Amino acid sequence: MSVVLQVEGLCTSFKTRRGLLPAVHNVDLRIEAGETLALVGESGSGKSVTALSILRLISPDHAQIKARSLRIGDEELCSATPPMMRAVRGKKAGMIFQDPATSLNPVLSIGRQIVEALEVHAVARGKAAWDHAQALLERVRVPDAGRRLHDFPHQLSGGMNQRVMIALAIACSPRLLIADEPTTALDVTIQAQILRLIRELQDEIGMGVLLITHDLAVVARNADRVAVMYAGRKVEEGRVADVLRTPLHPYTAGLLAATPDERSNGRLAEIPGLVPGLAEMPPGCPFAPRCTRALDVCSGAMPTISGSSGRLAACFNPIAPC
Amino acid sequence: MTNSFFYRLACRPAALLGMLVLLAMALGAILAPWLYPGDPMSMVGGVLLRPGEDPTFPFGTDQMGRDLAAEVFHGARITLLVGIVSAFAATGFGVLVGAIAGFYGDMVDGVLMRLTELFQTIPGFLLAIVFIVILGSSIGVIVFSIAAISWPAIARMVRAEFLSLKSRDFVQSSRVIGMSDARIILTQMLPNCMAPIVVTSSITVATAILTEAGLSFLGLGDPNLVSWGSVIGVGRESLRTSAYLTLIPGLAILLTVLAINLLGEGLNDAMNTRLRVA
Amino acid sequence: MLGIPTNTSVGPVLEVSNLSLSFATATGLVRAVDDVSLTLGRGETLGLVGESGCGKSSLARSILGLTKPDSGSVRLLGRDITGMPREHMLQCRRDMQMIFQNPSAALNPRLTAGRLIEEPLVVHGLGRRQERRERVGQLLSQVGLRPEVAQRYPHEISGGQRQRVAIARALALSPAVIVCDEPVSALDVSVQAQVINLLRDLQERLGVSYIFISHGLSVTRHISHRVAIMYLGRIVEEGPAREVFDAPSHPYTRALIRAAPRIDDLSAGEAIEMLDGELPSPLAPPPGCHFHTRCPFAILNCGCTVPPLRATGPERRVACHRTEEIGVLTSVALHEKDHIT
Repeated sequence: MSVVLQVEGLCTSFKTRRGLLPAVHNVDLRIEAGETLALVGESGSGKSVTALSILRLISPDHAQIKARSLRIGDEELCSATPPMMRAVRGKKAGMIFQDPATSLNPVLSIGRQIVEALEVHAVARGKAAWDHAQALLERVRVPDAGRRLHDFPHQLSGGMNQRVMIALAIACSPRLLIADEPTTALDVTIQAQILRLIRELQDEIGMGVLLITHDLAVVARNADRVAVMYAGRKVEEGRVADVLRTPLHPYTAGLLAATPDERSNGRLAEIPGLVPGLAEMPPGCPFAPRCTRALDVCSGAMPTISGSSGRLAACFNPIAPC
Repeated sequence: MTNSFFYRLACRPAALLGMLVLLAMALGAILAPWLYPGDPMSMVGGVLLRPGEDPTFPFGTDQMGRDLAAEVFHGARITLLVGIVSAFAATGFGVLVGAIAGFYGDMVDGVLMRLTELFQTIPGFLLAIVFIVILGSSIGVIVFSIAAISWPAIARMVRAEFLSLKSRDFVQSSRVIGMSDARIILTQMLPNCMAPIVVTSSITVATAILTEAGLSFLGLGDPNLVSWGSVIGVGRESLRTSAYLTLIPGLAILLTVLAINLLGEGLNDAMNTRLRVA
Repeated sequence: MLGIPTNTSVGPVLEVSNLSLSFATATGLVRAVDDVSLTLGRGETLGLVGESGCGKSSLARSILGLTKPDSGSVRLLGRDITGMPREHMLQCRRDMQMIFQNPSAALNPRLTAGRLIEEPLVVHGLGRRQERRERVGQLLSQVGLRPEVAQRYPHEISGGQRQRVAIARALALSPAVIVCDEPVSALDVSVQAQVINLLRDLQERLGVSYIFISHGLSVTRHISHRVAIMYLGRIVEEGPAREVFDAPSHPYTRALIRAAPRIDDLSAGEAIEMLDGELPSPLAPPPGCHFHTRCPFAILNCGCTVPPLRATGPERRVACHRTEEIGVLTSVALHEKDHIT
């Protein structure tokens, strides 16, 4: 199985008035072809920043992105120049965002936007590009694709626009697809359609998918492996069934207990306290102040992520031995 | 919270510079009766003395022997006063019209917008001239005329803000708790448009000053009062030989308007950051 | 007197009868709410579930008197408040309040939390300054916030804290009904749990009733006693929350539940029957049963006559021509599936 994404030691820090504030700390990710890795976390976890850092979509004026290794496919992009990154974005790696309404250019027709992507990466030009664009729309199940090519984003529903964004992202058959909360802004029935579409395309093209979400329920059905992030660090990782059934890290367990499901009755378990801000990170484990299983060592030292055969947790007192 | 606003304003050297220049102008205007007591239009010296020729007249004199420095300092009072008062009046009226039009919509909006368009489509400067010709050229009429041509832009801007604020949840929330319309407009919506209102009215001051200068230049200003425009108007005849008569008051206008624009931009940045909700 | 609920009556707190609301857009007439009736008892939570264009927000606004309905009536604590003029409405405002989806947008960014919570009291002229201040302190502790929060501005506190401030503000007048419009959708999971627990506690303690509008099925199921499912302006199913979600009758409800991701559903890759197609535009809803264009059980009659909302059990109502047949078909299919697995 070929590796589509390999990230080692990713660190992203934001340049602020108060100095360099780390938002992502030492994160490792690995995705193989045909596999979906879900990156789960709440606000402030750093999951979106991680995705943007992989494709260097954050300007160097605002942030410093460093990694020991960052490979998409077999290309090392750790110290890639902007032209190298431009060649990668859209061609080797595609990305779809949360709100299709703001991610598509409102003054260009759908067809124009897809053709643009094709021409920039020299996949097709002119009439051939427009035909290719129509084929792409048909592939993402946009009905009446020929006519839709000339429509503008505001003429389509949210679900349709998200399909267009997917078409744009896969136009050049990328190896990696990054989906940043792709269904949060959509209705429930449309959500299910979009997630199924992503899986089907993944099987067809053989892409690896990095699915970013805050919703553990979306992870359950739509990912093979999951990595949980808290305060910029990866705190747990493993196969979806393992992590959701037997979480190791107290934060993961807390998230699961706080999510209402069929068995929940009465009070939902709460995680006391708040996520620490970038400038207010406690020494030691960032989750320690809110953790019911915290030991003395937790507030002094930083637990490193460890484990075996893909099942990892960063905790001094995990719920079960890793 | 206000601390960070002033901090942000202080961070911008351009805005600080603008503020300093304006303070200097204001100071000069306030101190004019002490620096140059008496009537600035009295003939006190030799005719057409160049600046620096005679130390008692640092800016020189005009064709009638009037002290240019006295005229500039006293003129500042009228120019700045007219600018500020007419901008104030224009803002007051413009906000009233814009708020009511934006809040109530439908027919009320239609009628008020037609009124606004009426004032906007007639060339402002010409309309001001018409007012002065009909009503006389006292300073009150000048202030009124300038206000009358400046309010439509503010009204439109406030209306646009209100239209977008109207559908915001916190305005709906006020309706749900039972607030009256007037209260919603005054306590909920207006405070949230302060940034654009403050910035637009500061620019209005600049435009008012320029308009007043233009009117006075044409001889339509109050004949008993000295303003920068009137001084330029008098110097017009000797433009080729004694350019300083035009340049010095012109420079004063330039610096003031530039300072206002710089300050306005600084205010815009400082206020918008403060009001931006995380 | 502040802090004492005014509602001590028996009987439904809110009765909506045959409410219809349409509004004109640039491209045509939209029937946002079509002949909707529901009741809400004291201390009860009614969940309103539906997707875009189903009319749940428009329904909420007409119940609250923010928009005047075309027809039908709304009775609050026995009083008909439909289309009531502003002056009389003021009194009724004390009995009915609202919480919005996005706490950042629902709080005036220029006022402190304390002022925001105090505002309803000021508007209704309740109590003097000292009494109001005490009431604000009482409300802050009721929603689990420290007294210092009163001096903070909305942008200085977290999303969860903002929503608590919004809840405190809604509680200030001791209303009998609070309409919650997607109150937790914009919050993180862990914060969501806190807010939901808070809402339940308040209901137990104060006897306040909720209309809980949400597109999140698990959350609605957890907090609601009864639930009504809406599709394009009509209620298609109604009943006790757990029953409706565990054993849905209407094909749309079934589709919704199947489509909604569940945390305990680890059948990754298994093909689930999915609802195809897009939601029809509210400007041109399909004739007859609005759902028939996407319904796997639709027959000819479904496109001709509007199915009435009729009782299928002591507390269940369903608007479907084929409820009984579908019940038989699906129980047979489930039976077979159980046998195979």
